[in-house]
Amino acid sequence: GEWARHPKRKRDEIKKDIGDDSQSNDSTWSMECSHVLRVKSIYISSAILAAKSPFFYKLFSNGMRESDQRHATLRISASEEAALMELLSFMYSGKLSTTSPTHLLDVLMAADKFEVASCMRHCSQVLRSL
Amino acid sequence: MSAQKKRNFKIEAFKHRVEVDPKYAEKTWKILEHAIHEIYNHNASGLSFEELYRNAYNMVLHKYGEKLYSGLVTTMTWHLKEIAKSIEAAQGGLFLEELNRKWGDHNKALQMIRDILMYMDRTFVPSNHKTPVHELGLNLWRDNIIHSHKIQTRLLDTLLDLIHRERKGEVINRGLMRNITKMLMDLGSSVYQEDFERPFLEVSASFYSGESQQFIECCDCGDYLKKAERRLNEEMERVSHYLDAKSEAKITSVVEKEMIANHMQRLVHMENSGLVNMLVDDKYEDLSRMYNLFRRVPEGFSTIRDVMTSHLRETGKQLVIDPDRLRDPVDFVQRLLDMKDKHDKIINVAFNNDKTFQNALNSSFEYFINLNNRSPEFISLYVDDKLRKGLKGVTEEDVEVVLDKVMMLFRYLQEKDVFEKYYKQHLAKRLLSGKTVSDDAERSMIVKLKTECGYQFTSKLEGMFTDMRTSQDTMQGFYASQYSEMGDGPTLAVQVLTTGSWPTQPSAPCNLPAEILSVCEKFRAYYLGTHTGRRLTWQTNMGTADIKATFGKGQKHELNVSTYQMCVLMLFNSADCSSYKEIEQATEIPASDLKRCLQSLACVKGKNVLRKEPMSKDIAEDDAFYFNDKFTSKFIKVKIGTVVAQKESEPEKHETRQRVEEDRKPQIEAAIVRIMKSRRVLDHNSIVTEVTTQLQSRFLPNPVVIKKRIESLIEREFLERDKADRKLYRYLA
Repeated sequence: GEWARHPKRKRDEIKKDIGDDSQSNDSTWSMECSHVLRVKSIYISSAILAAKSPFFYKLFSNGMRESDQRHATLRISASEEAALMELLSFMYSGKLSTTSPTHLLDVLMAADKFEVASCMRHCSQVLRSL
Repeated sequence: MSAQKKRNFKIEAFKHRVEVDPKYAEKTWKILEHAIHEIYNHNASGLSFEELYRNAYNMVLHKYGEKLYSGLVTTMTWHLKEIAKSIEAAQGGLFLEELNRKWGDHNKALQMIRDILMYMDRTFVPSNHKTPVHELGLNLWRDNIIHSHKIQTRLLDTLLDLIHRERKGEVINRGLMRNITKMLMDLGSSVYQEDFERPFLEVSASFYSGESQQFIECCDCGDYLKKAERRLNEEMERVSHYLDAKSEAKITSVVEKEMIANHMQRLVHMENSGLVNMLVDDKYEDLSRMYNLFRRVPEGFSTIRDVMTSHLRETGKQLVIDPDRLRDPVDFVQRLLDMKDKHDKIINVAFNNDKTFQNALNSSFEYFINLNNRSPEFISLYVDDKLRKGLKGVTEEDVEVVLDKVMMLFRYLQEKDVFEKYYKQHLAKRLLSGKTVSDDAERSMIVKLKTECGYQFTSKLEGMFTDMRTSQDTMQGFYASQYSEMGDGPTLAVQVLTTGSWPTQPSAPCNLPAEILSVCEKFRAYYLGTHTGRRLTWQTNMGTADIKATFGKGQKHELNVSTYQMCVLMLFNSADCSSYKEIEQATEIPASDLKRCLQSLACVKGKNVLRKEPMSKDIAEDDAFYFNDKFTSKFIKVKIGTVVAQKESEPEKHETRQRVEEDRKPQIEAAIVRIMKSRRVLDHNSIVTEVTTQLQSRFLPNPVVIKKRIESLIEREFLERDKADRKLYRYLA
């Protein structure tokens, strides 16, 4: 995404383990026992994430393992990947690139998971105006 | 009605796999439960926030919120019970520290638990009406720790014991106290109040009840108040250091009630050190302390005020009715002024210039000043003394200060018209004898009286000043016109007094010596020549004369005497001896005046220009008088005063009183007519009330006198009694 090309921002690396969730299209419930399909590293500003999402704020600061790490890892299912990328993009730009209702719903779901209130509002507005 | 064509679009609810294997839920919970244990065991830094959050999120998302929530309650409760055991096991003084440490740990753990359960807190908790995680953590702490049977009473006893020790002077760990009370407040104001504040206030009440009892037995009032003040400050300081700010009003009210309110009467009346002693000894600091402490309790002010008032009234009364004081009017008034100054200063310095205290002071003065009906006379005499000599060498500002103080006493007088009478007399004497020191001061006093009582009050006084000025011009005119004819004769200085402006007593003129008489006649001719239609009468009782006398060995003296004395002395130009009868016949001076005049000429050592036979202190009708050619004095000028009391004698006083009463009659009648003219019909009591109100700025009319004036007005047909109701009067226009 576009956000990755801003070199002047302080970045934390976020690695994403993408799990195999072939049995499910909307859930990561069973991934504890599933394989890691692939790992994707993203360089991204922790300050921006923390400002937009209490989840990220706590992730970087509440005293648990991730607080001391330069590389925080989020584990998601393959089906969540597109929505998460869209969400991260939104947190930087305040814009969404998708208008497809299905994708919007996925983004809304991701925003709810990580408590990105601005994105939740945006998604539901777009969905209502469709 | 929408004309738009809408695309069919369906939003379906998320299909959660509710039928998922419960083993997964159990497994996920185990992970979280383990994490909570690790958090309480200080191993949180090894846990992955992301993983725990994700797991909690998944449980909620898959409808295992209830399992998660109840699991949390169980796990946390288990930990708190463990913590309770360790706190209970703490020995003696370590108890509070252990409690404080564990409270800190619990708070940190609770924070992390809330973080990982953030999703549950945001979604599951509100929709299922559960208590949010943070509050839940506090409630569980309260129920399992603070309200644990073994901790609850021990905690309270420890806190109260520490406070007691601090009150007894020990140094305690205030930071620890602060943390513990802060904990109780965090658990909710009801916890702080029930588990600490209420018993704290009860224990404090009994502590201060005992201590104040002990203090009051062994301390004097000043020391007691110091101790009470210190205790009050200590309690306020305690609140600021380690109690809830809202406790301040409550604990101070306990101290106020136990240490002040309960002992107020005993304190103010304490023998040798109570309020009266403080007032007498000008103990500003103690008085101020009493004021500031008593202001905090109901009826505190009125207690001080009442004692002060009755003290003022008592001292004032003793002062004004003391027969010794009546001998020296100037001292009498000076004492009143000093008393006023003293208490003004006390009210200003110690009583915050409190208006109600000023009013109490004023009403006390008003009360006792009017107990002595000579007060108006004495106040006027005081002014007289100051304006005669007392103000010499004093700056204008200081004169104003003295006069302002006198005006303040004047305001307390009920019989202002009596003061006016005397003031007029005293002013007349000052003016006619040329004894006023400062014209400015005289005028300033008149202006003050005018401001206070209006134009009518002072118009006659001002008339006297006008007469004095006019007389000067008249005399210049007289001598200018007579210059050629005057020759060696006596010099005359006449003051023409307008009738009515001056307090003249009608008195038959005495026979003036021929030399004087001729000058007088010249003046009369001159005056009536320039002012037609006037009448002149000589007030020989009010004049003075300077005469030159040569004694046995040729020594010359200038004698300063009254007109009467001059008339007597002039007789001895033609005879060396004269009997009382002869003198009386020749001069026609009224007997009482003549006796006083002869007494001052013959019986005062150093002034005895006449010799009397037989020698005695008093004048008898068969005495004989000789020119005393052996008279000597080291002064060229000899002033022979008349034997007069400065203060009025009893008969004079009586006379003045009568004149005042006489003057009041028309004023009362005028007031009655004014009132009846506007009201037409009025009952007796209302008239009395209204007349009193109208006149009280000048004097307090006697109801009996008012009744007499009404009767007189009925006789003269200004009013009539109602035919049916005899208490009712009608105005007859």
